Amino acid sequence: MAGVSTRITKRLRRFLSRIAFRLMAFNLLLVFLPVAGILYLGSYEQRLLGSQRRALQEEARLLAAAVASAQVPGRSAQEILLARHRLRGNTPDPIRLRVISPVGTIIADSHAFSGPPPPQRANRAKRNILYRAGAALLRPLHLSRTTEQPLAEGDYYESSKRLFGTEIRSALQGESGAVERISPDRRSVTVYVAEPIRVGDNVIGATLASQSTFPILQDLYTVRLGILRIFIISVIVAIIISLLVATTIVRPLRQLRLEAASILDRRGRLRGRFRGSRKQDEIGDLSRALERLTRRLDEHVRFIESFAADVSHEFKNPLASIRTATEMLAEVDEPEQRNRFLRMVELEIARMESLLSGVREITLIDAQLTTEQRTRVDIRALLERIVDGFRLRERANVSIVLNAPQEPFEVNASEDRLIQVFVNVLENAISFSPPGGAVTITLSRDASTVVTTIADQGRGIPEQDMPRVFDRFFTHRPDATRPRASHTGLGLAIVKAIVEGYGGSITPANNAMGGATFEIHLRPSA
Amino acid sequence: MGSIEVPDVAWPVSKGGEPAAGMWRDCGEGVGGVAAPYNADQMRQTIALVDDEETIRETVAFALRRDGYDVITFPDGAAAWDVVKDRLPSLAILDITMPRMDGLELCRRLRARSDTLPIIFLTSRDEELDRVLGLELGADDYLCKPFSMRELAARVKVLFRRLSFLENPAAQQQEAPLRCGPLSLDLQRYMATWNDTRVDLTVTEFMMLHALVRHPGHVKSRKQLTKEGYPNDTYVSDRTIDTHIKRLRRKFEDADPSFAAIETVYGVGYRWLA
Repeated sequence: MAGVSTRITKRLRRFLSRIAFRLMAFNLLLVFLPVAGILYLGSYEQRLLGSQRRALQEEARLLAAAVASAQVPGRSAQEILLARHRLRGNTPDPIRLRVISPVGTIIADSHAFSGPPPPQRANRAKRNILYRAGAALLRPLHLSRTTEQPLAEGDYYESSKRLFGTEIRSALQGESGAVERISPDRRSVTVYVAEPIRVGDNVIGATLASQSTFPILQDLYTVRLGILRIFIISVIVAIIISLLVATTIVRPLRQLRLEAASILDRRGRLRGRFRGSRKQDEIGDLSRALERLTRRLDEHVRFIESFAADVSHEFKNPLASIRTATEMLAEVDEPEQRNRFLRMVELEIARMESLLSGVREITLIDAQLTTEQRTRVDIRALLERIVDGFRLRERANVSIVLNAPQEPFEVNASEDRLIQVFVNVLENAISFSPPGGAVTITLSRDASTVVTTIADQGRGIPEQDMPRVFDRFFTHRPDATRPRASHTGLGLAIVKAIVEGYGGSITPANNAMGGATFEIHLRPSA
Repeated sequence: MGSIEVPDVAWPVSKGGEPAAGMWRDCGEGVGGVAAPYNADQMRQTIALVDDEETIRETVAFALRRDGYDVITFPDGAAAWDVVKDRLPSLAILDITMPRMDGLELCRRLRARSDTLPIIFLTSRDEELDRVLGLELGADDYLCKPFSMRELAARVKVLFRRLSFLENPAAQQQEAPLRCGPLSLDLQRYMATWNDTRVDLTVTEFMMLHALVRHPGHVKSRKQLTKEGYPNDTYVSDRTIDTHIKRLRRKFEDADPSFAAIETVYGVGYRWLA
């Protein structure tokens, strides 16, 4: 049981937390604002009715004052009403004014000359099917509020000769009175307001002002219906917008999720990549970012795999040599031969060691380039120091010439990495130099970079090897004089990785002297 | 034992045109003093060894010369082709990854010249082996670096024996072939026939097949097959065994499309269905 209920709550929570659902909920909440408007209309109606009542009271008081100030109260009342009617331009007046005698008989009536108010138009708004549906829905709200007594009907009151309702009675006792009665048309309420006519301290009669609330109600109904229409349209629009949003946001997101799921195979390995999207929105950005990420990751994985394959391949050669040499050691007896095979084994072991350190170096470069602090390094000063060291080592074997203007050439880099770059390229140049040859280093500037060229007088680079000189483990030394142990084929690969890590470039070429030239471009420090 | 102070590249690289007379003899000085002229009496076999690893050239050449072969060594395929295109060796041992011309191209060119020249590949990557096998270059065997010298020497011997049979089919069989249904294995010459149709197998494939056929119905694990296929080598991956088995099946299916005698026993290995 508990399991089922937690599963249900989990499902429900998942459903509620879905973006599509949340968007729909927000949209619908917005839509419900007009409903709050409808509810607010209730108090608006009350206020309208209140001001109507005050207006009626005003009219009744004015009339009472006019009647009281006349010389002959009974007769002049009708004349006052007539004068008022004329003043108003002989138009029918929705307010009915009456003057009532102390016994309740009507002394004067504005309807005598303006006639009864025009027949009320049928309240079409209220009969509208939409309105009725809405009213039915909202009835519970109204029921909870309207606990007032039902109103008395106005027909009977209007048709009797003597008007002696509560409002008249209180007016005759000197208090103003007000009562609402259902209009004869049964669609609205008529408000009756009575005011005493005082002459001195005596109440000589009452004025009665009455008006149907029908016009107000009709306006209210129309507004309500309008709001209802807006509400329904809004609901439809909200649903459409939610669906659209769901398709433009949720669908691509689901697509991304499916892609993400398909990229990893069951063992969690990368098996593809995000396809990316042409969409210009944030989801398009996200999918492109993911696409770049997986592509980069893929490249990295590929790099690691091919690097591992290269390394294992590179180690197999010395291993094979060691294996065959040791097998031979077991089979030959002459000390001379044994020494030869032992030397071979030693050399191959040394080669494996230098391979290992080269591999270590090349795998560290990425981390070093990102973590090492970069400072302003003067390449010229750096090259002078490096060349001094090489001159000491090489003595007369190879001469090293440094051509550089007497000015600093500053770049932003780690000095150690730059030393690695120049030492490796120089080592390479020297190793290819014939005895007595010269390696020429030239430092200059071009439009945007500091250019270092290192040229040797060796045999140059065969055309077909040009694209491969920077490949890791690539070495081509047809007439090598040193054992292979000293050439791991990693030196120039390391150089390229560092130079490109600094946003520079290195290009190989063959020079006029028949040797090779490496041109290194580095961005100068700002 | 003669002098072994051979130069790094034991064979002078010919710069086009005919190789100098006596060239082959010069290279033979590795073993036993004055060597006989090349192939003069079919007694001395010449092996071309092409590998860019100097130490491997040196040790392998030394060992093969001790076994009585003439060995010429080259550091890359182009250097080798310059010389052997004019006079084919009796057997070629080729590394795959080499500068200038790789072993695959050299193999292709050698095959274009001779169908019977035994060729052994030395590979240093598993994926390299797969690729080479996929190319169907018609090599007679493949050894993975680091290989055992004894292994290589054994294969060279087998290939020469097979070659001599191919060149002289009438030669007397000394031992009855192993028969198992339509399959017949000539254990001396490392040759297999299926319904009397010859199926060309590499030495490794033959040895694996022999291991399976010797005990029909018994499952051989990949480890056992490795031991049988490469008696002196311990560095062979299981995947390599699968590749060899796949190739074995395909070769037999080429001869008989209904061939299904090698069964895969999942999780264990393979067996021969009698």
